Amino acid sequence: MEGDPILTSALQEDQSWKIADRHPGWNFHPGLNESPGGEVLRLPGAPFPLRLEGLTGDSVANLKKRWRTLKGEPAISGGETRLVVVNAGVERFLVRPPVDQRPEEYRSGFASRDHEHLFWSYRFAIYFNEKSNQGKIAICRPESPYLEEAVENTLRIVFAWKALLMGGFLIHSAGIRRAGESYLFFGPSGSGKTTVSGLSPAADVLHDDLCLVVPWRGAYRAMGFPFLGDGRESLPEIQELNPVAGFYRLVQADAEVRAGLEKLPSSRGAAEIIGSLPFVSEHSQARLAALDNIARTVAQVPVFRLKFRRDASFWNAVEAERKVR
Amino acid sequence: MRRNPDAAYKMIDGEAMIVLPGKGVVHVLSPSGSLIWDLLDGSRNLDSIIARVCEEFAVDPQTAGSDARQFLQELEKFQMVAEV
Repeated sequence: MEGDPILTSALQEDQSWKIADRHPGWNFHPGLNESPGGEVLRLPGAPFPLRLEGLTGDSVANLKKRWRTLKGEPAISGGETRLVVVNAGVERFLVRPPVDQRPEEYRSGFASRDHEHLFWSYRFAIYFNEKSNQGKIAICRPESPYLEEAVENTLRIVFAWKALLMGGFLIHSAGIRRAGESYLFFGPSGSGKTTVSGLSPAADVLHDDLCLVVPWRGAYRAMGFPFLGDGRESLPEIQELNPVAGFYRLVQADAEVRAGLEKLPSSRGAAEIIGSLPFVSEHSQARLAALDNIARTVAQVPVFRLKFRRDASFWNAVEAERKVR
Repeated sequence: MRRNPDAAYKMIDGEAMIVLPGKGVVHVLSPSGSLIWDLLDGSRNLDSIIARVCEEFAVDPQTAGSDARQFLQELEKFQMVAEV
């Protein structure tokens, strides 16, 4: 019956399209040993030492091109993470929602037991053992660009886990280097992160969307996440960890309002930060670790609400506060 | 009534910061709300929780009871608590 509210409601709640989802269990990855290729790539300039195996020659060339600005030693020394790319042997793990279910949310699954983690999305599934520092990336499509995208998505997840284990986190933020410190500007999509980056000298932009924060050598330090984001064509060139001067929650102000800072109580600041973490709200273990890490971070690093117009005047307010702190 | 077991929370400076699964929203509770939240472990009844609120915040039982019931309704609305 047209317009029947009960029928309409039933249609909206139809989740039957998810029936073709395939959730990899703990026995899935151990049985996978065939790789798309035999090439090895060590990632320069990443936060953590990393070795990728099982790549094709084409994928190595493509990844080197994508990561061309990464240079030097990893910022955080320690054991090398070893990730092996293997063929999943299945067409997909998760089904994309039908068109009438849009706007689409990025679908993913996550499971943990002891030191082992599983993460899966549409066409890749990761197994990672934090104790052995090794894992497998099961990919459904070994050709370019799907393989490279699966690798970069994997590194986001693995680096996020490693940051959590170190007492840090990844945060959606614009990171700007100024006088040897990192200033992290965050907020929901459209709040001004890209604008802040655009108003800052390109050479000082750590990243315009995703930064890593970790306690390292006596201070909370930040660096840009070293990979391309969606639709981005250039990588951050700064691959170093600088102490975090502050976290700045961007709030757009009217043109006639002067840029201004309001220091947030620790709990409010922490809440604002956790709202800007990727992956965290969906996965319980990550949520708990992130809450602990952020609580410790905001005890040392201040969080501000920054009323901000789309011009560079916000730096006056930010720097004036930094000088008197 | 008790806290949603899937909720992750952390007390910071006497205020509870709560994240629920699958929701991109973080809840921060007032100090009195945070005390109630912390006590919602399923082992206490509402009267004992109200008594603790009266002890901590110098408020009369009638006001504390009314506020606590209203607060619990809010928590229920956001699926932050469940019946024991």
